[in-house]
Amino acid sequence: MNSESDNESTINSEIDEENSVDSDNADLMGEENDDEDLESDNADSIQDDEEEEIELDSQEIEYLTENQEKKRKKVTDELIEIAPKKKKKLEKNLYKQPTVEELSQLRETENLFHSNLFRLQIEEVLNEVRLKNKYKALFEIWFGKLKAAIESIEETEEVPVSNTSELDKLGICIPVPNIPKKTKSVFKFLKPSNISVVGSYNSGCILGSTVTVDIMVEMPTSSFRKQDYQNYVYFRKKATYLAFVASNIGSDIAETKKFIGDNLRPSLKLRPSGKLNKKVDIMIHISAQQSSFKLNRFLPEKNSVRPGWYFNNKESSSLEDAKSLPPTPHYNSLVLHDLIMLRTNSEVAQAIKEYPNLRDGIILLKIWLRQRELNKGYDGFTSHIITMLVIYLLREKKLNTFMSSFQIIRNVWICLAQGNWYESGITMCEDKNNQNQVSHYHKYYDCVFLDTSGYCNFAANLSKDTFSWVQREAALCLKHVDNIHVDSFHALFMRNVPFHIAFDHILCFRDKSFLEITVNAKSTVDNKLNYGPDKRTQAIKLLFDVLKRGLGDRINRLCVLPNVCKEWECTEEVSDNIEKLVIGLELNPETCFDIVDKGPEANLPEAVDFRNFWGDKSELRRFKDGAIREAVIWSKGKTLADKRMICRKIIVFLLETKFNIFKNQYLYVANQMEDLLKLHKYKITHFVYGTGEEATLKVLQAFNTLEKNLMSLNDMPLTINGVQGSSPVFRYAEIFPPLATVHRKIDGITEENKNCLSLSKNITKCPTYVHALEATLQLSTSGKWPEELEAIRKTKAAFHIQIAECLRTQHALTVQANPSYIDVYQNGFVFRLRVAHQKEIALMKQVKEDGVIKYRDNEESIELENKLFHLPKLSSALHGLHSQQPSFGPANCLAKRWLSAQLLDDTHIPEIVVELLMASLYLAPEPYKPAQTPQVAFLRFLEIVARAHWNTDSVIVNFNGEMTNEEIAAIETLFNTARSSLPPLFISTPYDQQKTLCTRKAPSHLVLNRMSVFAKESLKLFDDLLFNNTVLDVKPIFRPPLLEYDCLLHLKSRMIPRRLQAVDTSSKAKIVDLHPYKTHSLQKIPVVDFDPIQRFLKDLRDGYGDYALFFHDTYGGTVIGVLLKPTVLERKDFKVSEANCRKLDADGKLILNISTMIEDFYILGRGIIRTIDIPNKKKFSLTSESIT
Amino acid sequence: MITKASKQNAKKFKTLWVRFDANSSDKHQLFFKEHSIRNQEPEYPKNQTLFVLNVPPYATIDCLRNAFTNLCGNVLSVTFSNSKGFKTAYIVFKKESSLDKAMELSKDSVITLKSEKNVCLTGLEKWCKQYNDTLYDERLMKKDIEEYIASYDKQVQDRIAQEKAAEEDNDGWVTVTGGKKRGQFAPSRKESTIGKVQQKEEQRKKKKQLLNFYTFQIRETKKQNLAELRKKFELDKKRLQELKQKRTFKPF
Repeated sequence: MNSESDNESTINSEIDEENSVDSDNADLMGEENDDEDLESDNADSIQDDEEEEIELDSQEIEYLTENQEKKRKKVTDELIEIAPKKKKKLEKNLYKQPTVEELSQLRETENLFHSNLFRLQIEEVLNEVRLKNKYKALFEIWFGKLKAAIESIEETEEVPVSNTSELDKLGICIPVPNIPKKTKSVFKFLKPSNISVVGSYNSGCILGSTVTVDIMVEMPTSSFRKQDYQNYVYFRKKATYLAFVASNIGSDIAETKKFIGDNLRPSLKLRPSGKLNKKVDIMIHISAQQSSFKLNRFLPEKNSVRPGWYFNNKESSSLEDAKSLPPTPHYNSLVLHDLIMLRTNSEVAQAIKEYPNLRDGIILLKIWLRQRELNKGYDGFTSHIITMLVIYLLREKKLNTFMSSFQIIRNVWICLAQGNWYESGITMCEDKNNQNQVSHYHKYYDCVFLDTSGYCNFAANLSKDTFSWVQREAALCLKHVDNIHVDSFHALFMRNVPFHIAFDHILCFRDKSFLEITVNAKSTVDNKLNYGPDKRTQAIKLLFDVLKRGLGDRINRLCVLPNVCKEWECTEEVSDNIEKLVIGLELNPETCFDIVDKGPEANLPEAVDFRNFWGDKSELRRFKDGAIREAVIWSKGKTLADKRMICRKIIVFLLETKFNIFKNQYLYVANQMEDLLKLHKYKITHFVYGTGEEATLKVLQAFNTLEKNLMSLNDMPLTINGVQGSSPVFRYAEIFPPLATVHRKIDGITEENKNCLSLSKNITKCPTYVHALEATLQLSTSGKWPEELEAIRKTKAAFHIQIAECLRTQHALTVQANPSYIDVYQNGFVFRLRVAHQKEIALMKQVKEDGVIKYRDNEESIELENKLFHLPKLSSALHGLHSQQPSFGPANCLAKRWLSAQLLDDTHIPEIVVELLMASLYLAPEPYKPAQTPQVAFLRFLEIVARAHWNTDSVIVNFNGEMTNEEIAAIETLFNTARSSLPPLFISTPYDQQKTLCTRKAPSHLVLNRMSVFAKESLKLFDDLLFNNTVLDVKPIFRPPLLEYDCLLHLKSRMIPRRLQAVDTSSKAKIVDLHPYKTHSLQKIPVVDFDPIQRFLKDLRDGYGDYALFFHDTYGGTVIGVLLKPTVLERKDFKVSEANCRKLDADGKLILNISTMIEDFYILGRGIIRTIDIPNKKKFSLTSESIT
Repeated sequence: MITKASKQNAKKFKTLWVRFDANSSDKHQLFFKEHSIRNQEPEYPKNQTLFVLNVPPYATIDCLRNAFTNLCGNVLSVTFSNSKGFKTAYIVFKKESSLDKAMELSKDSVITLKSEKNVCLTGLEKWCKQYNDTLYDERLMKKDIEEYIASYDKQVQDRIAQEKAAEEDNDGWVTVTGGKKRGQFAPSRKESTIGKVQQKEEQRKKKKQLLNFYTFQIRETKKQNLAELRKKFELDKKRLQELKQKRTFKPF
């Protein structure tokens, strides 16, 4: 053909010449650019000099910080200038004289940071979240206006606090909690004693994109009477004061004003008018002057809410005696927090302001917390706590001001991971007695972190569970950041870590009314008094007590998602309702699947306690060790799918018996998606299918028998040394593993042959699909193999025949040999064995150049090597991973089911690639822990697919840590230097480090992008489902959009062998009853691996793959989507290479012959196509017009 | 200029319609011309060979042969130059006159691939046949293998015999060479072996060299060190640029 198109080639060469001229021009242009660059570079160096001078001038320490600032900026500034320069330049640059500054910077990076890249990324992020100076200036002006507005509020006469009707004229609904109103106190608006900016803005640790600025308005001491700290009077006064402030802020200052928080701690949220609008949110907090009350009134053991007043019962009020009163630590801490606000604030500002590194560290830590949804609301690990912690560590000399931001973060993590605030709390008070105070505080609070005064506990609202969650995250991140070979930055700071993906099981209460009922009924008097209107905390306490006891060591952690602060209009009332409550369970992989909860021995006193807790569930049982114990049995333990749900069963039981909360009142997110892995339309006697793990186990057992049979063959010239499986089923990754059943001849579909069934002519229905389970055989080595490719193949075929005969005579198996494989029917499964021989691949690769033999990969050799050598190795590694992480197999199945449901099949993205990606998620799960449930693993898979970072990051699947650090470094350098020549998705495993054998052909960029789009949509859909519906129906995630395809080929359902595995099967479809397999001497091998749809797809892709892409769901899809490649619709000039599938139009140009192509689909799919549907006719009519 | 050339090119090709069977409504357009190039291959003789483009994937050799026999006269052979997708075919006629006939076909003439005489399997029937074809008769297979191996063995033996015969020159003298390292036992000239030898050589050289001895050497290494650091920095910066393009550094 080459020689035929002589003319062609001359033309081509002409074109080439033209091109080369063009490129010459481009080169010239480039050179010109170079010159410019040179000039600019000169300018650069001059600048450099100048800066050096500055440095020399500014020896004084005062300027040093400023200079530092400059330096820090410079790294990124340079970046923009240097990036486009040519290579030659670079080389010159490499050897130029270093400046002192540069040297010190390079050294600094080496010593103080993780890596260059880490440092650069930190700078980028900090730049992103910074507030520009321009806005700061604007804010100062705005703040002046606000201050004036508040100070101009006129002082009022005294009004009784309990009766607020006179204040109605304010037009504001005063945010007061629902508590008894009776009080004698009076309110009088007095001018605030202080108005100032506090918190992060003041200390320079603000976090964009919308910055929140906290402003404190302080009520003067004179507005309080001595007894006002008691019985919520303080809170009423505070709320009324806030209402006054709110009513006096006009629209010239704030565009919108809303209350935020809850009735107990309301703040005013303003959105300033003018340019600040989108950049800044203002929060106005009301506080009280520290001298208003004595601080020791609020020690945790003191009572500030009188039970007689609170429960409105007169008898007890008379009996009240200061000593027997129940303590109200929670109430006390709320008041204390306000009293010391100003003092803490000034301390923070002092400590941080001068040290930019400290500030950067705090900002990064805040980002870290926010990405993990930890710093929300009041019960989270707030930004305030982390700031105070940094200052605490600074005082303790665990941090110093010379540390880089990276070192600060790392040290804070270490302290968090090792610290233990729920047993030995920390204090900032320098008084030595304060350590005793800490242990005293432990009696009243979960976690203790005292301020400098020694009275206020910053961690008063922090529960032990939340703290342990922070510890877990800190420990995880520490481990991740210490791994030098991974670019951990993204996982640490840039990725959102959603609660429902970080935890294994999620318990979600949406309807809160019954929780309130529970609280009212069950909460203790002390707690009611202490927490008052805060029902949420009480509910959590109640639930956690029971759940923790019931779940025991099945869980590592039980955590609550901190609540987002409510916001409401100033004119509205807000209820004290418990908002949505989301609880996450982190399972303990060692015990969470146990089917028995062993209790104490029957004769011990604890047994009664156990029986009381579990009620009827508890039974007396005799165990193997002879002990007779109380025990609770949760499952028969037949399937793994069942075992995974034991925690759910326990929780359902406990909620029902202890709290009267029923299944339909909450949402338990754990296994909704596993439904997709169940076989709804098949039934097999004496076997529970579950999610397929048990069926896989059966296959593996049969395979082991076969292996033994093969190893024991006598009459073989070379013995069989090894048998390795390579089908997905051997790594628990087959979505629907085969079931051992009897296959009989069916008239009109199959016919009996000598060893196996064959297909009849004119079949009307497709026979059931039988998997061919691929495995390779390793023979003992021998020097007698021939030297030629064809001869080796023939020898292999001879081996196949020999093995078949031996198996028949020695083990009475039904076997069929074929030149390239042997089919063995063992225990109802068909195994397809192939002899593997290394020499065959070597010969395929062999190329002779100048008399030297070289080995070069080609498409065929790669395919064969993959199949015979690479895949078996990966299979056993993945199988190993599954035995360590039992959720790995089903997670793979879910991921593959989803991809297939989105009409992306094995040719778009090979199964093994999906499995390796999933494996990478288990081996390097940061920022998570390895998933215990398939569903969570699947969601994480969707996350990384959606992120689509394949171009910038390589995927390294380091099984068992087999790859050494040097090897990983080599791979990284290869990836960074030769990215463009590598396939779009680069996966490296210990067995194939730099060649990425399995991703060479697929997936393409297009498929990866599509996957990313689908994954984003699916995640969004799941979030919507989770937060809006009580019943979680996940099927929409598995339904593909069909609108965008150019052409849809609908298939005859009788010809789809796997139609019953579809996502949506019609309810009418009958359930297929399978008979379990029994051995029988006359058994034939069934029709194996015959799926007409797959063959049709292959024909289509072979024939029309250049013009269109074909999409189909392998598992029961009834439709094939055809998408034309956009470039094929162009009109083209006549060329021999472009003539295919095109025709000439009137102008002698080539256009795609679409109508004929679609008819061709029909011809190729004769017998299986039902109809062809073209949803978007416009596209086709346009082109057909141009034809005529 | 290019368009002109392509038009000329297009003119050289004649066209013809092809359809699957009598029921088909749409047709593919075949492009064909006389096969003529400077270096004539013996299997495609001049004046007898037709070069055809855009043959649809389902067309088989037999189909084409029958179709062209009907239209122009006896066909000697049909060869496809590629196995996948749309094919390019060389059709060799028995007589030169058939080729002339073919070149005179009107551009509206239509050939039909599938007719009663002409079997062209597609779809389900084809796949069933394909499947049944994979079920080999083991005895036949064995016989075939035995034949092949026998002929292969003979070939090998012949080659060895030939080599031996060559060693003996005309006068009956045999050149005796120094045993082991040559002939069958010598390492073949492989890339890997050559590489190994070279590596060994380099190592030997390295051992002889003095390192960090002269001042210039120390200066050089320092310089190299710095360059290495800078290079890494540059690489990281490049990577950051890429990252920047891909995802903005907005954490939320």
